[in-house]
Amino acid sequence: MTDIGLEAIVSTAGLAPPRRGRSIRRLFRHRSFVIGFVIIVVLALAAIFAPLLTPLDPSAMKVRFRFRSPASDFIFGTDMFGRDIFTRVLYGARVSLFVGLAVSVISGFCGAVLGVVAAQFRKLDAPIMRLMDALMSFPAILLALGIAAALGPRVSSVIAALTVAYVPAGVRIVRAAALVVRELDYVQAARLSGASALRIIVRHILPNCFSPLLVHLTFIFAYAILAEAALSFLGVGVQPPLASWGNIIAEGRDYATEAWWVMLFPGIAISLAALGMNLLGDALRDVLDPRLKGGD
Amino acid sequence: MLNLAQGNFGSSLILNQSVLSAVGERLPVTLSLAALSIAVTIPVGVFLGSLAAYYRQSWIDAGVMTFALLGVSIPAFWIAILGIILFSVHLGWVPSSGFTPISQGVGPWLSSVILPALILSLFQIGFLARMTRSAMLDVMGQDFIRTARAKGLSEWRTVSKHALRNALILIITATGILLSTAIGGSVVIEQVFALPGIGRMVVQAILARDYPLVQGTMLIFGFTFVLINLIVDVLYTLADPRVRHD
Repeated sequence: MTDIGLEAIVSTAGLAPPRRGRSIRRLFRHRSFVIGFVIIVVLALAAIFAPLLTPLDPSAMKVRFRFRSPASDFIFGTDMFGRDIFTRVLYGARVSLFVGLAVSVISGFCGAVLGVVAAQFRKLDAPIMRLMDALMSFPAILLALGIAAALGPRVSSVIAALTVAYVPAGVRIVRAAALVVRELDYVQAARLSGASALRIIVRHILPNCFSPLLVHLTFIFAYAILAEAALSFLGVGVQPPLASWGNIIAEGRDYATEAWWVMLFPGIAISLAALGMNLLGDALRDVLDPRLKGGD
Repeated sequence: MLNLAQGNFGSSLILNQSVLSAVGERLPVTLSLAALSIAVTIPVGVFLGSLAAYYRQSWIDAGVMTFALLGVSIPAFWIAILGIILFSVHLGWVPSSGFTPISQGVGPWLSSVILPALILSLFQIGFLARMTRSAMLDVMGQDFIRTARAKGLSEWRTVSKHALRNALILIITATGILLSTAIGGSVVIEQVFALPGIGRMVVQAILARDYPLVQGTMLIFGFTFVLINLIVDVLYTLADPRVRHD
């Protein structure tokens, strides 16, 4: 769960700016991409349209219906308070996927900024990278656990904690890519012809860092979903009664032998979401990284 | 700082003991878990990854990669609960919680940590197999592998001596990462199996707002990971003489 960087570092070689139209067509011919894409789209739609898919309230307790096993009335069964698990998993998807999306977007943005700054400005390189090394010396889950606990159990602190834990790998990837690009002839030519540092960064360096970063962030999305679930399971993440996949499992754990369905379905949801993002990441890496073309 | 230099990491608020002795007391549990899971992960992960690379595009490759993908996608704490239900509650093969020190016999010790260690390994095997496969694919496509085959070396020698040896750098890097994920993962796994290890202590300390204990333990973790990284760097030079001249 820690230095996810490595899987994607492999792909920093894919620096050639891909021709967009062709890449997208190739992606949709890639089996992993199609499977991952379908899984993620279905889960995202389920999260967005949760109120339309279920008439029930995720936190409405009906003690009369406690521990109903999965049947026609409650397709995923009910928990110890008589809450419908299907409804809770749908609403939990909103929290879990939002955390995943927020963490990958924010850590991607921070990673891009810090990575480019470290590569472009020699004086800032050492301080930034040593700070990242320090953050990376802890397993991400442990770092996130400490930060989330210090900030208090809220969705926003989970996002902040996971972002801090996952930024360093992104910074490394962007910096590595930017260091290669800045020495390329056409970037040197731009510099000699008087382009400003900002223009070089925005026009030349950032676009070239985009594909390795995108691959990396896809994996971060998967790791963030797993980590959010783990944090919520440990009690420092999303707090009940707000449903997240992790805390539904935590609540269902004590009854796991009698009411296995409470913890079974959110676990399947987490696995599917992480699986979908990992498949997308694999496919993106195959398509965007010309070096591995022969491999698969 | 002076206290720190003298090995004093402060005292816990809830445990009525110093951080160092609290960590020391729980170290065997976390160490057993991490060591056992790494001992399973490295041979299995490298073997599966090499197998998939060697038989790429075959059903073996597809099977191994599907397994590896599931390993990195399924949350460990969830599969741990399912594992307890199956192996402890229904089959009764292993105790569902608690730790037996190795001093009370290898059998009881093994049965108390084998299930959590294997579950910890699932993610790790998946991770290592994926890394090994891509490293091996990279190496197997190179000219010197064709040369090795052309000069009549057996397939076994080609793969084990030439290919695997060159993929070793990436595998060592992965192993360094695995050590830190093993410790990170043990935080969650210890909680599920009620193993009295360092990870469980940290979670309890955080929930009880015992900041000296959290701080002291994190500091000790920090030192440990710096040490792991150092060992990994030294191993690089052993695995690949080219690194030595840098």
